[in-house]
Amino acid sequence: MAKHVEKGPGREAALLLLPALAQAARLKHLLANCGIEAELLRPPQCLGPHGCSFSLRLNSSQLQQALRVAKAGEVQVDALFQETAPGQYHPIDGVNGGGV
Amino acid sequence: MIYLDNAATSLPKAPGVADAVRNCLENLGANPGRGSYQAALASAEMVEDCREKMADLIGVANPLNLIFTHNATESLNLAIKGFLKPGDHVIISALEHNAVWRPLKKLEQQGVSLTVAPADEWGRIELANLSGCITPQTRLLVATHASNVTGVLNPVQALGQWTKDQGIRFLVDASQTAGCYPLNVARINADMVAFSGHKGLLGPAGVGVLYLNKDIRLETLLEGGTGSQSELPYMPEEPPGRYESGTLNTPGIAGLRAALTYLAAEGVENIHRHINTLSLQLRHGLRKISGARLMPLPRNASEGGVVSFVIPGLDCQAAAHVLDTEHGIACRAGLHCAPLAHQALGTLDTGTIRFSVGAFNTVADVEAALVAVKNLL
Repeated sequence: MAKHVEKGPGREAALLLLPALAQAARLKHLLANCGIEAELLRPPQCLGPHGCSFSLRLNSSQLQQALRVAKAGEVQVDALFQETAPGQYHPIDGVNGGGV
Repeated sequence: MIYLDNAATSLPKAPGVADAVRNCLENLGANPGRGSYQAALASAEMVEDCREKMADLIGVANPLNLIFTHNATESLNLAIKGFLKPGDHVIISALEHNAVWRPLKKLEQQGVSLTVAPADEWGRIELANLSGCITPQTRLLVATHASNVTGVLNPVQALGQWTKDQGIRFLVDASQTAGCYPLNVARINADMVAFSGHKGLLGPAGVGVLYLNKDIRLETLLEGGTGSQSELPYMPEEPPGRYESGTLNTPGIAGLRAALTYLAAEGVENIHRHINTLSLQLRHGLRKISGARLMPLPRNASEGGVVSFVIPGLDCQAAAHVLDTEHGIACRAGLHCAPLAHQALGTLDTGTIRFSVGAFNTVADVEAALVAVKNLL
């Protein structure tokens, strides 16, 4: 089972939304190969049309590297969110609404 | 029982397969891709790990281009019916199984035209004469990798290059070779490759696979729940979910995953070498039995594990019955669901007796089969 990504000051989590389970599991596998731990989970339904998909939750500090890994692995990331409090997310500006 | 029907399904399965299926049913069997509780996610990760292992085995760079179906027939139907439209033309080899032939005959009634490519004396596509089959409407070439009647291999690598040169797509039926013949999807220039998980791959029945080149979008064969993008009234675009409506055969995939782990450890090349040695031994022995007539193969061919023969004057079904009841040899007789191949080989009226060896057969099995055939005469 996936471990929860550590949280705390300076360790905020980012949420990557993916089209479906297969994409999320694939990216999790690719990230693990790069030493990036990510938790596979369903995103909150309140994230609108992206709510009914799968997501990966990881430390914000590893977000850019994770996006590079996704691109290299041809895994489509639909949207990005920053976790501001447990279960609360805000879109990361300039990247959502058209794929990442 | 001496089991010589591995072309129909492998028996026994790879070590670990039965335990993996049981473990899935008893401990892991939550529905993958639906719920987000721990057991469902664990089940989902098992399915995706199987996809990763499959990709590694057949040289697919991105596992997301592998679609799980319920058998090779469904994979072939998805590829054929999802790709072709009325007005299109398709070329097939003379060795095709009914899993290719019948979907295409149905599409023929809906305006798809069909040409069976010229064949050489072994039934393989004659590349030199293939250009004569092409029309401006040709969109697809379908070829089995190995015949399920004789084991002869179509020259898929050359055929793949030819389709690239012609600007058409290439669908390979690898049902008889996946897992028991070194197969690299990229090397054979295939756009789509269909196969089952229960033959050479040594997994349980109930799981098929379709490799789909990333730039091909098929029409779906089934529509329904995918566990994702549920707000959409239509099927999502992204593979593999687009083509995987409904609950997957999770226990079957767990078994297949265990089989893939075994194959990776043993090496497909080693298994192929073993099967090839036993088939050569079978062919050599049958050739020495006067009264048995082997289906021909090219000289020095390194073919699959299938050895087909007839005994003129003896009905093949009756012979298989005696082999079973008096000698404990399990084999298949008849047309093997491949009437086109029998037409090409001249055995449409008689069928053949087919021995098909697998990863777990032994020299002693082959010797016993040869003694049994001698006793038929």
